[in-house]
Amino acid sequence: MGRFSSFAAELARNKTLLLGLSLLLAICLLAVLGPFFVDFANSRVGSTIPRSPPTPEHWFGTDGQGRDMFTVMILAMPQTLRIGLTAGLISLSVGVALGLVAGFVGGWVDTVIRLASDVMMTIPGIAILVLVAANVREMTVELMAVIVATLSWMVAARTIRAQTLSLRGRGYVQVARLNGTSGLKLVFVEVLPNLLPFIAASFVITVSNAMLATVGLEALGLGPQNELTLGMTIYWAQFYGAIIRGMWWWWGPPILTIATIFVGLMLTSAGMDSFVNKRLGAI
Amino acid sequence: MTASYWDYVARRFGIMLLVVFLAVSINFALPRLMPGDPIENQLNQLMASGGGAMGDVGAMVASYRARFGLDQPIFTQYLVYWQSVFSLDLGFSLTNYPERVGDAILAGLPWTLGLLGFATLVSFTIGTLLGGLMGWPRSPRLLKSFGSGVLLLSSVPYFLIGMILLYFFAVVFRFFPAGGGMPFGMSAGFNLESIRAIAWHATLPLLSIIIAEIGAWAIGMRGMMVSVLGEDYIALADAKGLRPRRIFLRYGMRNALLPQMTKLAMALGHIVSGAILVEVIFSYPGIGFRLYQAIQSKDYFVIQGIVLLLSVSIAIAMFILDLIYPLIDPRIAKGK
Amino acid sequence: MSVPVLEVDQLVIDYGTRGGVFRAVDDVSFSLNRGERFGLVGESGSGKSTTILALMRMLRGGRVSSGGMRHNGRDLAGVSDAEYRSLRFAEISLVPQGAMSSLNPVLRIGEQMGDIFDDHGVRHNRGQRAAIISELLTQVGLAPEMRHHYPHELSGGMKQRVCIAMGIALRPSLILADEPTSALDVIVQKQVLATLGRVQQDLGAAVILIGHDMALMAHFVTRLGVMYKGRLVETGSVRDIFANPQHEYTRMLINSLPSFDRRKSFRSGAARPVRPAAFQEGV
Repeated sequence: MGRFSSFAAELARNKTLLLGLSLLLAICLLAVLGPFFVDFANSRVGSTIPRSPPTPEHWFGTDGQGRDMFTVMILAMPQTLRIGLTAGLISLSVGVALGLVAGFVGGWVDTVIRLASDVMMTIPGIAILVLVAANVREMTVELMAVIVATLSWMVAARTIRAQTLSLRGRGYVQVARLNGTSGLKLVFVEVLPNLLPFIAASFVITVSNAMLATVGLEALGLGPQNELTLGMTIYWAQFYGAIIRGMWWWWGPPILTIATIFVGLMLTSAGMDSFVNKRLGAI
Repeated sequence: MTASYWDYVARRFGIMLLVVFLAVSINFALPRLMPGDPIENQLNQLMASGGGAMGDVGAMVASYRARFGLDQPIFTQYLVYWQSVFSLDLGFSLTNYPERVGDAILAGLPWTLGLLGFATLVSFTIGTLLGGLMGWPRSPRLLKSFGSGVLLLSSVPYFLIGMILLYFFAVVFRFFPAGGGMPFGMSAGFNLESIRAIAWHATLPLLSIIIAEIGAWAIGMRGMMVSVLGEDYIALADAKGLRPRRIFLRYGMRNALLPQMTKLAMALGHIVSGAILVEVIFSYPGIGFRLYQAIQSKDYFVIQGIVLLLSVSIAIAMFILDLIYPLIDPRIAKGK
Repeated sequence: MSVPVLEVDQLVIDYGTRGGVFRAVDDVSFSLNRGERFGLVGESGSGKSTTILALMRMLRGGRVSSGGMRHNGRDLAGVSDAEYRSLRFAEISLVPQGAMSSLNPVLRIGEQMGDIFDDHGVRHNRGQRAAIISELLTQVGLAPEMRHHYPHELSGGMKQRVCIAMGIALRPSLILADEPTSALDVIVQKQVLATLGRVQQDLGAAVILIGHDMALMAHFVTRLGVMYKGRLVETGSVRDIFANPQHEYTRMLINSLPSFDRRKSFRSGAARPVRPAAFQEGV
């Protein structure tokens, strides 16, 4: 309870964090609740008159294949968030695990993990993504998340490794170690809880990176062709020349939604940064 | 330059070799790991439809066999693959046969390097200065709030900004051309007319990259500036009665710039892969647009060639960066 | 008797904090004559560094609430910020506490010293500048070639000497030394302090030395002030204070010294530093 109220007090002070979290919350609510209120049939090709600008029936107009853009948007949002969150979670878990092991075990294990993350940082993610995506038969939302995740675990691994190293040197961890606390218990009881703020901060960055890679791949036409996502909507709009033909209602909503998500992630990350650093001083 | 410096160089060189090795190997392995054979499917499809590769299909199949030599043991294939990489023989384009992949890349490279190089340098300069000023307590409030707006913009992917610019400045108001590197039928040359046409076509793509990138540079610089300003040598510079301008430039900026230079070198390394989507949005005739077209038409060798180029160029750029870094920061040459 | 170099008169300095006003310096008065060495001792947070910062007008977040400071008879409160800048180092210079980190890592020693002349309107041609900087370095016991070096190439003691050389570059009438030796090991401490003493004598400048090491202090200064919780609880000659401490805190400080130190300090009276072997200058 004390933790919660201190978090609430922090939110009241930290306007950046508050604004960022509110934006993300609004998007998530829309993505979760929206699909209950729309008719899926309207998102099928040819369900309406194509290329219609916004009207009272079709709030966001219709696209070149006659899909109702409002329905498309409402259905695409949860898919895009699902890819971003899944990829973020996978790469965060991998990153935290590797970072903990590297920082705690040290020695050659640490060297190998550091080398791997150095190498992965140098290899351009987009290149591998393009290669893999060009080679798989059919792209799905889940596969997309996995591919993106394998390329964005490094930030989390580095942050957590550095923090683990500094925690390992602290007095209370040393004392626990001398008392004969076993390695695993040490990690989960003494170290992990203190890493939570850093893990939270890495999560936001990781999700942001994953979303960026996802949207980029999709806009290149390498995303899940048969699914509705924000990035694929942009791809189809681009593919059918919606910009040149002045059909702003086709590409405008997905662009604004994606922009809102990224602004929300950035504000959250910036707000968390000052939060985390303050806590760092207090520990 | 001490022994530790050469140790460091050797380590970095090793990492570069490792990256190149991995990039080539992944390029080799991926198509073989995937179920089915995408190339063969692709060739069959092309031949069945009769479209795309109407030329000498026999030569194409031969090149395909030579590259993949599927009848030979896998290790031999691997060696052959390395050989072709070293001799820069990347095969033929499937859709534009008999165009060679190497030539396709060479045709696009100057456009991409020019666009991205210019955009990176401009956004680096503006962003670094802006970030430095945002971290400087004596800067006017107005500048700081303007800066915060730019920072927000930087979180939006650059190609989305490109789409918005394209719509407003080329479709609604026809200030700029909607795409391409230069007018149809015009050939590039060193004359005023051609340079003007190129600049004209490059304006919107440049703007979209610059708008999106300034913020990223400014964020990094602001953070560095704030932490540098907390250093003891800034306090002493203030105590010495130095002019604020000198403290800002010679004591603040110069120190905050070091990590920023690293990022610049890294960004220059990523130049080829940096703005694929901006090129796509503006049909700009660089590597990125070529990659997009290749993906559209499943022109496998072109995809592979461009991806290889991206990986290798970054690996080399990073290594060069590691070499010059000790020269920028006098502290590195000694320790580490 | 001429005008004192420095008079501090009932100085009060407050910091505004979230919890209210914090009084860092409370009603402090003292004065210094030409060439005099005055020591301020006290634990950290006692207000001694704040006093020094106020004299440099470098208080961050704090303000002088009442009282005043006069330098050579001139009221410093009436000096504009721009004028104060030109006063720094020309009239009042500072030898900082953290010599290890007080030099700009990317500028050569000579350039950092030259900046002082440039921004105080002292013009030299190239040869003159080199000669003057070499002379300053020689004065503090460093080789003239040091001006071509970067800070990371120097030891801690050498860096502190460079700071002293900068402090005397414009021949100020008052040098503020804020625990200038706290980061150095014992032998180097004494050497550096001896150097400071020598150049100060050559210059005829007054010095305020801040510290918490009573023994080291007693060797260097003639007069001592003891600060405790923002107040100057006791001032007097070193001999008097050691012989007959008035304040409880002063007694505690003296009693905490090893007895050998106490006796020696008392006997030598610190009129001039004794020079056993360890006191000889060297790098």
